[in-house]
Amino acid sequence: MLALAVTGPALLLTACASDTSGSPSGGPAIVVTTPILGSVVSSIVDCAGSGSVEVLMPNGSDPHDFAASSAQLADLVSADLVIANGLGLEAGMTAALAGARADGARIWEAGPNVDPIPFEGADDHSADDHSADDHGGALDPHIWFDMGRMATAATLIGQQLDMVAGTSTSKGSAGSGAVRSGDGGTFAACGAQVADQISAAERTVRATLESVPADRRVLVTDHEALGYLAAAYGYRIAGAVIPSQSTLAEPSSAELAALAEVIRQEQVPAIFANVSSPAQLAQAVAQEAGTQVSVVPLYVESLGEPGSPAQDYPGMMLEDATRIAGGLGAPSDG
Amino acid sequence: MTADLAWLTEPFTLGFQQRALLGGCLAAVMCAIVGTWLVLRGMSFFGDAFVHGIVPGVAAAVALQVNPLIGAAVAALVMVLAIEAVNRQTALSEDTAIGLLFVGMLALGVVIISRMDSYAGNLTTILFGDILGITASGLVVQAVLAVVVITGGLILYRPLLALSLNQQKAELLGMRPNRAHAALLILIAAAVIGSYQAAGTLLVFGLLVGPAATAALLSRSIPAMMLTACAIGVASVWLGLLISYHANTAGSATMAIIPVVSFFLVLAGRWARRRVLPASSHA
Repeated sequence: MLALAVTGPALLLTACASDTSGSPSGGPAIVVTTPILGSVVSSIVDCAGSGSVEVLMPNGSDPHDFAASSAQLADLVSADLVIANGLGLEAGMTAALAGARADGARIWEAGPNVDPIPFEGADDHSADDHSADDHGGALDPHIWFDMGRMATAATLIGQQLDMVAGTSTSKGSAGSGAVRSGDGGTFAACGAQVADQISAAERTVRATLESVPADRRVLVTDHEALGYLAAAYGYRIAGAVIPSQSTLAEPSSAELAALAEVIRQEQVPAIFANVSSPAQLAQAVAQEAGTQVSVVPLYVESLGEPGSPAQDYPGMMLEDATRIAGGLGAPSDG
Repeated sequence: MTADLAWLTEPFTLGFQQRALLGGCLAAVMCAIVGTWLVLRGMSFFGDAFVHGIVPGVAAAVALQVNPLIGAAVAALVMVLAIEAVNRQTALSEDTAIGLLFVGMLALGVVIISRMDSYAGNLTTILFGDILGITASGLVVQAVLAVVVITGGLILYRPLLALSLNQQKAELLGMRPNRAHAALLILIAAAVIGSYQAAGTLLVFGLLVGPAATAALLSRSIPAMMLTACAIGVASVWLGLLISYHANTAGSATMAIIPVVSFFLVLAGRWARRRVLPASSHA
């Protein structure tokens, strides 16, 4: 834990890379918190051919821990639209986002708009627990692991962008896609198009995940992030190395021992870790549970490097589905 | 010229940036006043332990959804009472008691945070501060605490001066040194509680000791030292936020480095002056 305290400043220092794409000339200036939502928003903007996207969190950063710099928050306040995940995912930015909202930033959160599901381990937090902020602790923020919900989010983001750009009555589109639709504007049409792309990728993801025999669809993960995937594609969560929805909590030795026992009893062949965080604990549990247990890294909260199969959101989900099916011993036709 | 001016003003044009500057300056002034006494009385280690000691209070308050300031105040009280108890019951020196409480309270804080399954208790935020997230209501609380610290500092000036010079003498003069000491502890608690959101519980120590230590090198009287410490603290906050904006570094950490750097710069300057002008320094 001291290691965490010591690496904290280093994380903050590196937490400043940002990414801009889209045309600098014209269109709404959009700031997105996470790289995953950033990928979806960039696709919509590319399709519409106007607008600029700045993604605050660099690839590989932990969204629970990320803190924005003063210059990034300034961009956030002055942006036409801020798109955040919400539901408490951006824990290190909670106060900063609230402050930016008070300063007049227009923030739209995807999570609360896609019918979020409760976080499994949150029974002790009743829904009427009143907290000062609107991020209830009881809803799971990892919405992107259900591609259906992300398709909905893409559609909604398109509509939001039309509202801020005022293009719902625009005469034509200069974009490469040049998509038109009867009722919505350019961005809404592009949002719908990106939603279709996500749905198309989802069919492959679903087929891959369903290639695993039903009795082997058991997930042990590094933290409780795959609740949506389990609910959407018929998997069961057997446990998590960090029994919390946040990567910031720490497990006790008894919890790790109990998890190793569960893995042994249920003969779970793989623990799914996170590519962007160290897997020592997952390795320790795997060793304790038996030699045949492998630790498979997944893209959990961040995309892969540009050029890798997981460089955008659909690619990340396809890659994760392949790795899950491989880790659980699906027939190799995938 | 206008470009230079924009470089200086641009980081402070938006609401959150102005709240950060104001909150940081309030923290710097509070810390400078109590930090002066900490440095003069050789209580830096106590101050260090104190700022870490409030971590479990803040964490528990977040978990129980009460105001973190209340948690911090309770933890500060527990800390002081426990150190006093060890001092009275044992022959161990005071730094042992402080050390025990320091590590015990910090560890307890981390334990509490490790058992929370919500995001609210972000350890990084508690330890390293969230100066860009200071709210208007937080500023009001800070301002009230600053008034308490400044008034208390003025009222306690003579008793604390006597206490810093000689404890027995203070007793003979009827200054009630124990009361003055207890009052100082309350002022330290108020300053730390009023400053931790701006600088974080780890880094607030930079504002507590850095400006006061630098001021000690530059000043010949205690009021001058306090005013110099305030000026250095406020300048550190301003410069820290400026650098943090342009270099994209963590705000609270940049702020905490500057008083320490300024201390060593002053030290180096004094050394250089003595080497270059040996005659004038003895004049």
